[in-house]
Amino acid sequence: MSKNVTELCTLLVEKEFGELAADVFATVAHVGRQHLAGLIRASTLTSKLFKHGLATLLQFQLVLQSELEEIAFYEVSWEHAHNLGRLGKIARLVEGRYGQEAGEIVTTLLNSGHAKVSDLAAAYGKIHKKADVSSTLPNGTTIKHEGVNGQMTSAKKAISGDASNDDSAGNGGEVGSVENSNGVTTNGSAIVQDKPETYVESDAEMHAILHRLLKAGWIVPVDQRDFWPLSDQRLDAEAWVLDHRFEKGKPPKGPKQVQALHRHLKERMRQLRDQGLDFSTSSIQTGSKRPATSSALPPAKRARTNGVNGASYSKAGFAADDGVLLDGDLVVRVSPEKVSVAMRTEQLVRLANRFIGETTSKVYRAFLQLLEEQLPRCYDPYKFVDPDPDPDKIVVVIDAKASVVRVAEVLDKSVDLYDGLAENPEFVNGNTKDGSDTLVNRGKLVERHIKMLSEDPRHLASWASSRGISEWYVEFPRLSKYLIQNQIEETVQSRFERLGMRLLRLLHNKGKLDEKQVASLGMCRPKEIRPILSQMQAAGFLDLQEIPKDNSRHPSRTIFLWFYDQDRVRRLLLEDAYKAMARILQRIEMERLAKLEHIEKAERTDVKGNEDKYLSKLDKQKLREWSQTELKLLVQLERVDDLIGIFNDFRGP
Amino acid sequence: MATPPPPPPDTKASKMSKLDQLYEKCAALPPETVFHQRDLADMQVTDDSNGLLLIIQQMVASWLMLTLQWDGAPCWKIRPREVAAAMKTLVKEEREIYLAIEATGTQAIWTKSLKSRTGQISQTVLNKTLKHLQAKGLIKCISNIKFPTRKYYILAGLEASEDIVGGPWHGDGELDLDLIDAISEIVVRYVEKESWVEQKSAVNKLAIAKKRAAVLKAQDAAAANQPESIPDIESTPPLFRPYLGQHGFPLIPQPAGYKHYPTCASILDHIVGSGLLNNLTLQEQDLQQLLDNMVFDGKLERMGAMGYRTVRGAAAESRGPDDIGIANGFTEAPCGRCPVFSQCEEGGPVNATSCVYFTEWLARNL
Ligand code: SF4
Repeated sequence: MSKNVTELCTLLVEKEFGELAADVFATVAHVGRQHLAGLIRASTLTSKLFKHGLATLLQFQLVLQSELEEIAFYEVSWEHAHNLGRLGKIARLVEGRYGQEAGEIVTTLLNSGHAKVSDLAAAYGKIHKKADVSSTLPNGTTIKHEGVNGQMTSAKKAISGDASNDDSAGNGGEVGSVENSNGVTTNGSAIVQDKPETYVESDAEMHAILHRLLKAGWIVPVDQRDFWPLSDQRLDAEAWVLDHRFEKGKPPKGPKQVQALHRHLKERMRQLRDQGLDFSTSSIQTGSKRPATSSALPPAKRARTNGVNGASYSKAGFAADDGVLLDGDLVVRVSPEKVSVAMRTEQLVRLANRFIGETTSKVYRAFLQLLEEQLPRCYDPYKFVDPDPDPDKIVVVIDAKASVVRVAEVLDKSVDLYDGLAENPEFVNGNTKDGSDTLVNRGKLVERHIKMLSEDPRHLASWASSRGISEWYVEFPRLSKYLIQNQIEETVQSRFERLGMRLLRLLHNKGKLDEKQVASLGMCRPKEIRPILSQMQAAGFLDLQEIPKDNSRHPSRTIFLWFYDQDRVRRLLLEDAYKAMARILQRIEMERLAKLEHIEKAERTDVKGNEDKYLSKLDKQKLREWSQTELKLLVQLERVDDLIGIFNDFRGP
Repeated sequence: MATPPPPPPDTKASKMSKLDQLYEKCAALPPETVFHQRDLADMQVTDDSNGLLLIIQQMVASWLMLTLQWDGAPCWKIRPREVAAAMKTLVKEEREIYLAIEATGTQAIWTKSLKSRTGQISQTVLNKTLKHLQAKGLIKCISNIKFPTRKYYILAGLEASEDIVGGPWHGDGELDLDLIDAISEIVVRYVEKESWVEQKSAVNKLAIAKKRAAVLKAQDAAAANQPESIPDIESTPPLFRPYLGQHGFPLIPQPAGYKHYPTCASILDHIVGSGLLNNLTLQEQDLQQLLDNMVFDGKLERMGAMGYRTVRGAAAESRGPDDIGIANGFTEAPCGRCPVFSQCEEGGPVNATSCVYFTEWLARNL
């Protein structure tokens, strides 16, 4: 992994788990796959401390353990480490979709890495009494927790292993109430300002929420394999494939067999990954209180009582409708892949809001969130591909679709669907405001919004079918590419003015051009574009190809062609984004240290609760400054992370 | 020539010399028309071809006509009478140069080529002669967009061809940026009007006002040190400042299925109809080039195969300063615009801890 990623991930580990864990993480990251003794040798820590730190990292799958050989080998997990920068965002995304309680449950889960359902229930109850939850975690690891919204660094940073109660839950809500990071309000209701104390009143309710999250794929059952490095998972699957799909002792030979091996390998990986998700058949059963009437999965309709925008969220809905009790021993974790799916939704909604309108973007959000439930990840590396496709058949693979009526069903009823719709004189029917707020009518209005999304030059929605019901889907791979291009353009525009962006788009559209062609196609004066082209080249956004006319290599005998390589720029900006995030984290630490005296004072047990008595005017002012500075930096951190989503997570390799 | 108009009344024609009659008949046709002997004979000024050739000879000798070649056969063009008159006053070298310039037609000629084509005239003589011809209003100097530093000459009465002067977007051999801006402006305004609808309902003004109040309240709350309620930095403006149309109402897209998005042809019609072009002629392909560029520029976007729509807010942007703010999470933060980004390293001389850009940025709007 690049230096920037290592730096960022180490800082994130430090931010969440303290210096010790960060030290261990840095060592494992630096040394690479290695056994314990080797790691300890490479580290300056004592073996006891090292093991202590490692235990934390293992619990959170920040370090993965390979057990294929006699002794265990260790590797870091970049995905999980990077996810530490998203804890607040994840909680907010879940909260916006499934309500506040769900957000809090997910936060609790994030704070423990993975947890048994029964432990989660217990811990969740306790969190609301502001108690430490470490003792209830599996694996016997004790870890420091930081209360609701673990993202918030309450200022102090106890070294991991210091299991002292760290009651910073009160601070927790800070980033949690910053709006969806892209400027689209989720109808206001998801933004909780004065957070009332809410409780998940019963186990049943808690189970219902968990079940919903499981079904939607936000949380997934933990499998032994999740703690293995990917290479181990592959080897394991390969061994199985060779055993079961090929003749004993005859390794696959020739291109045909090797191809078959790859196909079986993919299939096996997919099967192993997804086996835990099939609740109806898997051993991880969802037990039900009402065995006879309700199956493991509650009827689809009931599970959908929640409004997507959170407005029609009803607490009662869970308890009353779903009599589901999950197996208390079921161990679950949050799926980072699902987080990317939701982040993608946010970005697409941002586009709709920017280029079409706010109401349409709300419809789009509801639509996308329905698709989200059908999509466990943005990109499936183990997706089934037809080994010999019929060349005459054009198949459109639709992974997820939704009907306009379903969108109307889940869309917050307070959204005025007439807003943002222009009267169309060509459709005499169906355009009159008959005022009736029936589902059918709302469905029709939703359809008109979705058609606008579809006709938009970005084609934010695509038509799937209209047999009986009007169904739509989204071409995610194409739009993911668009998002990448869009962010590159915005970056270029803010650095090189509009002209820079225009030239970039010109080159993107026309391919390689010499300077004269750029000037004439771009309708600009050569002397005006020359400096911008070279600056953009220096910054890595454009490349210059030299084509010699002869062997003299003389500049006057050479043609210089400008071109733009999107993927190169994407990789470049991705690295820059990692680096920028690391800088923000370092700055937060520096700002914290600058106010440390006051922060520590405020956190003294005798001061807590008696702030007015002990804190001076200066203390209060410094603390206020610190919290504002920290907030500003954290908001920025999340916004840079949005870019990482776009540049890295939404696309396939 | 059996078609009307009937031949001019004999009374008038008879008063004119045969030469003048022929000249006037030629002059009645569009300038730059090339005449073959057959065409001139059809004008029935003379009774036989010998007589006609005699007149032609006289006209050529008096500079009223010049001889060209077409497929080995001679053909002719007339010169304006003033030009012919002026040519009579020229000395030999001057005339030679004039003829060389004339021969290149609308392609114009570079001084260097002129020199080689007219033989051993020295540079000073050439310059003097050109000046003289220019003073007489016979030729003019133009620049060529392909070679902006070279001097080209062309007959005063001609317009250089497009590959020399660069079509309507060029003036004086350079791209006419003012013109381009002005036309772009017209295009954006027109296309916005045709491709968006202004939502003229009081409800929406009310909604905007409400939203504004909510946002401002949140900001106030933030100012009163409740960091929990600070809205997202970027989201603030669009929230209560939706993209507004020319009458200040929110813009909403045309409904799906709308068939009347402006096309290159309809935009051209509008521009021509607006009368703002003066005597500039704009072809569809010229406008197409501009439209392509406006798409690259993020002002227009294509709707379907032919149609155009403005990018939401593009017209407002050109009406006033762009305060919608184009930046992403990266470029808003100091590092995204940092001149020393590549050198920045923890522990190095440039680092986040001692970074002045951060200090400045944090001090802003806190
Ligand atoms: S921390 Fe400061 S010096 Fe370093 S990259 Fe960011 S803005 Fe530049």
